[in-house]
Amino acid sequence: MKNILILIILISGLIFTSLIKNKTRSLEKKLIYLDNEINSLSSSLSEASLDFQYLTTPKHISFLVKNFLDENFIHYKESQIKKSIKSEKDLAVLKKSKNDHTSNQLKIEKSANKKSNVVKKTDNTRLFVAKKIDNTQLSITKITDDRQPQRTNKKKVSKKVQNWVGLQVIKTLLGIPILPVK
Amino acid sequence: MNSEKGKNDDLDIHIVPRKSRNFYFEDHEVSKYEYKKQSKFSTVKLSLNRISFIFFIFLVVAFVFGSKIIYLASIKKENYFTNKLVPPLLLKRQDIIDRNNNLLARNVKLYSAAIKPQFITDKGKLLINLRLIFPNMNMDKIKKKIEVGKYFYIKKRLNESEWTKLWLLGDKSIELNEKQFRVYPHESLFSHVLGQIDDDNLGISGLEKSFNEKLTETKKPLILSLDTNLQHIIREELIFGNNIFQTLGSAALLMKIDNGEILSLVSLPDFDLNKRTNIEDPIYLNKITKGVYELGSVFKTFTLAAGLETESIKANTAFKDLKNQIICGGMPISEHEELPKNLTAEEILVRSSNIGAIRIAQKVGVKNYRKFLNSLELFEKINFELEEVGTPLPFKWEKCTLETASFGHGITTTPLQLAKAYAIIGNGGYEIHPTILLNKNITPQVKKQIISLKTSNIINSMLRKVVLNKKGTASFADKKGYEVGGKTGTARKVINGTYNKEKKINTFVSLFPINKPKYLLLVMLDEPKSAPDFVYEFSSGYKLTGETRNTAGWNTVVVAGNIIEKIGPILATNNLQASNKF
Repeated sequence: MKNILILIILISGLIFTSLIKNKTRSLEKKLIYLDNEINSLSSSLSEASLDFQYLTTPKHISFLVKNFLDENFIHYKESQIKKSIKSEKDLAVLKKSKNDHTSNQLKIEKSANKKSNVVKKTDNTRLFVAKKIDNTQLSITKITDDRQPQRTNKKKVSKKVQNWVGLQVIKTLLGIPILPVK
Repeated sequence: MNSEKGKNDDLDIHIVPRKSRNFYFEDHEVSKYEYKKQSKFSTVKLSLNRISFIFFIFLVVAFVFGSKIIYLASIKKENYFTNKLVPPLLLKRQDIIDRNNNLLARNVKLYSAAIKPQFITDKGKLLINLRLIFPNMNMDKIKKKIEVGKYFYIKKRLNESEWTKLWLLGDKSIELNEKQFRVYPHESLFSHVLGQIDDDNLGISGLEKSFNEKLTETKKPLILSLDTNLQHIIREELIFGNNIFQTLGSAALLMKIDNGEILSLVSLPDFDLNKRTNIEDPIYLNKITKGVYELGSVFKTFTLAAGLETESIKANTAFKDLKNQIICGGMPISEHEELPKNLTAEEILVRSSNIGAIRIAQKVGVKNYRKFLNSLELFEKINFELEEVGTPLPFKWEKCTLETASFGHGITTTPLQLAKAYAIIGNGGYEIHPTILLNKNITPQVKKQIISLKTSNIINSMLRKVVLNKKGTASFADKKGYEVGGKTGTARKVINGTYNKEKKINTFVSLFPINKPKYLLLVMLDEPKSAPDFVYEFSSGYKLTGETRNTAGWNTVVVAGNIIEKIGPILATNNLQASNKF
């Protein structure tokens, strides 16, 4: 029994040792891999950050601005810029006036909407009336157009008659025969 | 026979005819037969065993390999290719960064190409190839070096395309070495502060030298108190000033006066740190820290402060019958312009009266005045992080020293020390130490008082009047919203032992916002010239041109005013929340 126990312990010890050894080996491999990864990443990070630092130097940026930016950046003096930071009192007054302004604006908008509605309605009625007038005008003109040629003919005929009568009167006064004689 | 034949059928049919053929050899035949019978069965058995054994072996091998393949297929990608090690990024020197984490200096791995002349097989071919890769390279020089036969570099810091082309040549006489080089993304912006390193990555000047150990031995970056954006703006304005006033050079220093942190330190001309430049010419010295100058009327502030501190004078103390010129030690001392004969102490500073300053100094006395100047550490070498620090020229307190020192002549100091003294006067009177390193807890807990708060406040109000008063010398620095106060100084340069009338050092030291000073800006122009074509714009909007005066008020103050106007929004002196970031 004792021997068996020793044998079991020995064998299990051997198995465990080999298992641990294998595990350690794989862990070491992982560590080496991670070390390599860290080294390569840190070197590329170093290069990238150096590139970034160079590209963002004030000299480089001002060069880029001068050569490639369309906007003309002008240096403004302090006196040319309105103070952006106001005291709290001013800010409160500004807020109040802003609120008043917005409420007034809303009122104006409302009244403007009403006005526009009224204007719309009147416009519609105007349009309706105008259309009606147009229609009636059109119908009147049609009727008058139909009558107009008769009237003109009559007028033309009466004028001819008048001219003929006048001519005959002059002829009789002058002793010229009324009827033409060949 | 037949029965026998039939008996033997089970065993072997071939034996029977042999037996009948030869009777005498029956035994022999029998034995032969027996042998044959035995050998036949054993051969079959043996071959079967062998086959099964080999099959078993193959099966085991196949199983082993199969299981390995399955194992390999099942394991994760990262467990492959672990043999090839990627070397860690071990930098010989650490980064230098500014207060906003902007990178100022970094080591990078680059390739250099060298020639080993002893391995050259075809010199002509090599030279042609080099000409194709480096069209701008002087081939005669290369040819001569090859003839000498010693190992030499053809180019350091190769770019990727050059490296590839050289590598593709496959010439064994070309050696491509990987080396670490220092890269400065801001090129010349911080040249006087950062300094340079040699080929072995050792600092030879500036911070690279003074912090060589820290940069090479620690793993943390060196964080400076400088601000890249402010530095850029100030440098641009100085360049503008140099062009307008045709200066030999210029310098500026922006410092926090409560803790001495330097936000910007510019000295022009500067040089590109990425190119190894010969900077032996004295114009390249760091004018702020290394330059030692007579700075002129900016010393009058100290004279007034000494008078107030020793209670010899008050701001409104009247000085009557001030002459326009006096003789001291056989040398005439005169005013820079016609001034009223009666001036108060405050007016003496505002109008920058030399004779008035002498009278105040005489009231203070040599001993007190000397003690006061020494307390401001104006004449000792300052303790600063850079290697390039100047030592004020030694001088003796003789017959006329008090008189000349009172208006800043005959005594020298560095602009950095001048700035420190002004910072002490402006911050309420306590000592500070200028520093270029970022240390948020640098403000001293126990403040060492150099001058009283009362004197500090009086001087600050006087400095404001120098800018604000119409008769003041620095009205161009009156920028709305920044409350600038300051003092101008126009000093003649000493050339070959005599004061030169034309060559001047014009300085302006300003504090802002003056009601509670936070920043100090010192601007210095080296040998400026008058600019009659320049249009001067007063704060009232009045414009003036054709001005030929060449004093600090007409050039240095203009530059300082422009700087304050541009850096003001960044420093946000009026916005407490934003300005606390600095």
